[in-house]
Amino acid sequence: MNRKAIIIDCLADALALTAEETENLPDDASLSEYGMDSIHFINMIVLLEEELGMEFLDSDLLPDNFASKQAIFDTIEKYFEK
Amino acid sequence: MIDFTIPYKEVIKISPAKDAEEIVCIRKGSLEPIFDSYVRYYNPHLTVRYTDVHGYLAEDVHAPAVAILTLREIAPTLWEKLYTLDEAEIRAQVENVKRLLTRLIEKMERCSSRPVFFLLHEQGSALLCRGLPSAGEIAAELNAHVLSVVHSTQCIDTGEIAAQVGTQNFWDEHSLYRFGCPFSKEGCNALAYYTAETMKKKKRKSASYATATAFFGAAF
Repeated sequence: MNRKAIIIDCLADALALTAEETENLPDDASLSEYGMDSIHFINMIVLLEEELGMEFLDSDLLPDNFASKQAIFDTIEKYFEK
Repeated sequence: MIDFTIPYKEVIKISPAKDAEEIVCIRKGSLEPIFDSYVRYYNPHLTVRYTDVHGYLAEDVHAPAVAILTLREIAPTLWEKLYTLDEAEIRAQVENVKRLLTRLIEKMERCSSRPVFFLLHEQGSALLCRGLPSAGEIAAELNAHVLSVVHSTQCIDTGEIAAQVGTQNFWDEHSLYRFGCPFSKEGCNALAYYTAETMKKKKRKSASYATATAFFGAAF
């Protein structure tokens, strides 16, 4: 599974949506409109770290960095660029 | 047994049962959602609501209660100023906390059919230079006090749980800073396992007692 698919999967699990529903969300849509709250946010962070085998820097754990699918892709991509 | 192999994505997929019973978790900072997810994983018939010690003492609540406290929250002044208080001030603070714990245990035993108390577990070496007690020694003294006042409360040795997880892996300063939860994912998993198991055992015990009482009469 590629990284993008893993992220979609984690997001789907955190929001209790199907992978297909999550895939179909517009990349720039605000996730809070799809139920993202502080509880889902923590679940999503724990899932992403576990599934991607990485750990976010505290300084990256800002709501803006996880506000949409695209924001999440961009935030995570930084960790794999090096 | 505590399941350390289950991926978290499987854990969060478990939904609470329709007839899920609410348990009250007494602690200031919430352990939500990691602890809750693991409680559901081990027993989908439980849901968790949080309230702090003072909130619990003030509210009219009749539900199974579990206290998962740390010195940081039960004795904030002691925790923050341990290195600057003198011996008399430390003693006064410790006695205050003992009184609070006595009230908490009394309320839990009065209002919960299944009170569970996770004993305090703190690391910390003795303040040798000042000859004053360390956080660990204060926690041990408070635990001894709790054990001297409990009747029906099940006390669980948090130190033993931490040892199963690995003490370094049990606490997570990073998680405290990020999510306000002092325990690691593995720590929450272990605490949830013992919460779910103890609630289940105690429920079985109360159910058999109720059956026996109904059969043999109240004098049983």
